[in-house]
Amino acid sequence: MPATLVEHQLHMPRLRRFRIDRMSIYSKKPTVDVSFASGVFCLAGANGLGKSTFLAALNYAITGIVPDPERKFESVPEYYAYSKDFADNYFDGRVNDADREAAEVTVEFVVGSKSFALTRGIFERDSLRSLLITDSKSGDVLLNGAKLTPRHREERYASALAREAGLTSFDQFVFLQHFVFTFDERRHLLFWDQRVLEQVLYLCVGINSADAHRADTLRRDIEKADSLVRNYQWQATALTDKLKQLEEVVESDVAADRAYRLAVEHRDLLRERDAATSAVIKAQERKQDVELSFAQLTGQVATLTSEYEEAFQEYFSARQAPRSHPLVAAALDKAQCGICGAAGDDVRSAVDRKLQSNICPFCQSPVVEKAKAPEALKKIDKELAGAREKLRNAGERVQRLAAELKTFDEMALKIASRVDRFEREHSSVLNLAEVKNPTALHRTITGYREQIESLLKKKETQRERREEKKKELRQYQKDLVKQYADAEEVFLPAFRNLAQSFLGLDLDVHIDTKASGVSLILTVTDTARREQYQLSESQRFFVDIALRMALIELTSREERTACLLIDTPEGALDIAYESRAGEMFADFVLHGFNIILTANINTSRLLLNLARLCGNKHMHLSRMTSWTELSEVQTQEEHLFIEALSAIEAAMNTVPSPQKRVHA
Amino acid sequence: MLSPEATFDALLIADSIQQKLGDAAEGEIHLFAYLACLLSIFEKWPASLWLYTFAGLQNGAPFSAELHNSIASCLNSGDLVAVAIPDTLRLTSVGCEKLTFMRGLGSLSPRTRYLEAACSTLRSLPVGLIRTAMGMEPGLRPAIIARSARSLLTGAALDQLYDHFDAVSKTVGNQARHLIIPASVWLSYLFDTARKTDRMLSGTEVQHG
Repeated sequence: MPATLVEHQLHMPRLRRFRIDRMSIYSKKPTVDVSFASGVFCLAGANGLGKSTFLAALNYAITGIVPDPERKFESVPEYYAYSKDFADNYFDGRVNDADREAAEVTVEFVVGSKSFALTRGIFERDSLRSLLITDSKSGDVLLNGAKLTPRHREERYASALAREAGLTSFDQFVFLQHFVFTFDERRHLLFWDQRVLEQVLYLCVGINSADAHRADTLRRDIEKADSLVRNYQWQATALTDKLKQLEEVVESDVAADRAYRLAVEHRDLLRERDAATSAVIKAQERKQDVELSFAQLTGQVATLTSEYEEAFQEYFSARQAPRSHPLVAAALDKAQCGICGAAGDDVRSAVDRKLQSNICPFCQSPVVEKAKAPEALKKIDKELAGAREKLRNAGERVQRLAAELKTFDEMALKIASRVDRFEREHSSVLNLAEVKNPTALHRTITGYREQIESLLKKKETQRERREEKKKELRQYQKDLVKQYADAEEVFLPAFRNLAQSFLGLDLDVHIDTKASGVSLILTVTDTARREQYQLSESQRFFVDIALRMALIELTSREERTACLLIDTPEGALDIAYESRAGEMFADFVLHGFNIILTANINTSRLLLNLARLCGNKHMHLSRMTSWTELSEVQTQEEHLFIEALSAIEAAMNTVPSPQKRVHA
Repeated sequence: MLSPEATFDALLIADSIQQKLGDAAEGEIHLFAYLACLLSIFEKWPASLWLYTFAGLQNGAPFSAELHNSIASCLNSGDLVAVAIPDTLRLTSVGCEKLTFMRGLGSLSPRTRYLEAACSTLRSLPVGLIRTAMGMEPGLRPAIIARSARSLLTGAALDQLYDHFDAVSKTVGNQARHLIIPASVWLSYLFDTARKTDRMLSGTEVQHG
């Protein structure tokens, strides 16, 4: 029943270590092993090196899924269940076949009072290769999964993690991790997806997670009931139309005549269809016969061709010696000895004489003529020429019959389509014509009426169910709005400060309840910006990141250790906004939260400002350029990467001047 | 394995060119064999019936590995001799004898019509013009433009070739049965296209001879 208002805090992962084995796209680094200290972990890489893959693999290690960008969010459990298969597709091109077995990810993180260490095979659904849960303070082992089955380990992990995170189910955790605690390459924006945002609000702002689950279920049930209402109504309307036709026929003699004429027309059409179908079958049989003969002839020609080529070869080699030998041929043609260089007609006639006498002109040995090959060759040639001619004729017959079959097919299709259309248009009358029995006809009409009544009843039941659930959901929505009012004190200033530090404009957010659900409305300098196009794409990204940061601050304000994963956020911001975005990220980190960030190596103000404000203490830069082969262009311009990385590292090493903290 | 068809074609073309131009270059044997193959397609032979294949080299010349092997084999067996450098070939008396024998073989004789028609174009057109014209053939043209080798008689190029031949058939009407006529009309059309293209691109005239 309606929500219990609670002080709602979540415990999300504080990442410690992540290891990837045999991700083939990291060709120069079979094992990637990184540790995460507090603050910003920035993985800097060039285009195409696998930055997004790194974050996807990290989330896969934690949640067991990779989100399918094409999948629409319907409800939390469905999202989790239907996203499981996408990981295979995602990693398929990133892991070579030879590495499929060995490819795995290992992650270590802390949630609440427990440390989790687990390993997942990249292509193994719903299972873990290892699991160890310990007390994060004492180090005592709470669960060693060594003796459990892989599937059992996954189950134990999921339930322990959900419990420790303060959630009702693992799918809620997965949902939050992917939709709030990650801003990945999908660029999914919360502000502009009411469906997702409402569920986020239930989990982050509102009521306890069990009630959030109930609200999610109610929303889905309402949709299903709504769909059934529409479906039953459609069926009832279709049956009513049929019923009307039947009643017209029954009530009118003219209509009865018409029914008879239609029945005759229908019978003729069916005969025509049967004839066309029979013609198709006969044409198919004829074509099959000729195709068989064609196949036999093809085999025969192939055999003869092979014999022919052998005989041809034999003929050529039989004639090769000695008259065909190049030196002898040259002597005969050019009247020149290829051995001693003597020239003149004497040379030609001397060589020719020897050959005439069957003596080798070179060594004087007697020459024995080989068997005459041409006769054998001629015989096979005759057979082959005949077989080829037959094959050609058969080929033409196959083509002709294929064309004939196509014509018959088209005719049959046309007549079938006419029959189909005719039957659809006159279905009720045709039924009458077949029945020819008033009692049966009345029974049909009664049956239709009963069906319609039953459908309308079912529709009404579903409508009532929908309204009941809507009522229940409205109560949860009310509770959510109330809870938001309490949370607003923390959430709104956090969001406004973060977003203002980026946009430099006064931003406001208020909760709005409509028939379609609860959503947050963003207003910028008093102008309602409910439509996406009113902010530039890159501005929208950062406003949405600010929303996530504020939500994280709200849900983790006691622990202040949660981690936001951000994939190459810089987009198409101008230099001023880049600088502001860097400040916004730094502000979040300097308030105790963590960011794992992937970024292109460039001299963007975002990275420079972030590095300058966080310094070595709060930022770690990891170079990705040695993980895999660079492209030709990247290799040629590698000095630019080195310069850019050096600039970022230099910015990290400068002592930050006392900075005006934007975030109050 | 030696291809009887390629061997026959090589000897027949070498003999024919020898009678019209003197010695034959290997490239010319490939060129006229490809033209003969195209003429068989003009008469509705499926391309596969030619029994060996061609590729377009990046300079726009047709080339067949089977023909090349046959020519090498003929040189080895003394049916052809190399009379000049580079690769000018002449049919020997032994080669002539073999050619005469092969002309009588029923499986090879249907090709004779196309090979002779292809070589007969030399009666009315200079070899340079034929070479330039063939560079505009739908299969060879892309090889020149892309400067990379292409398989010939496949895909869209073959469709385009059929379009050309339909147009040539309509132009020459009943005279199509004398293959030399459609062959010469088509080559002249291709050469004209080459000249226009060249003029458009560089303002220079295409040379032939």
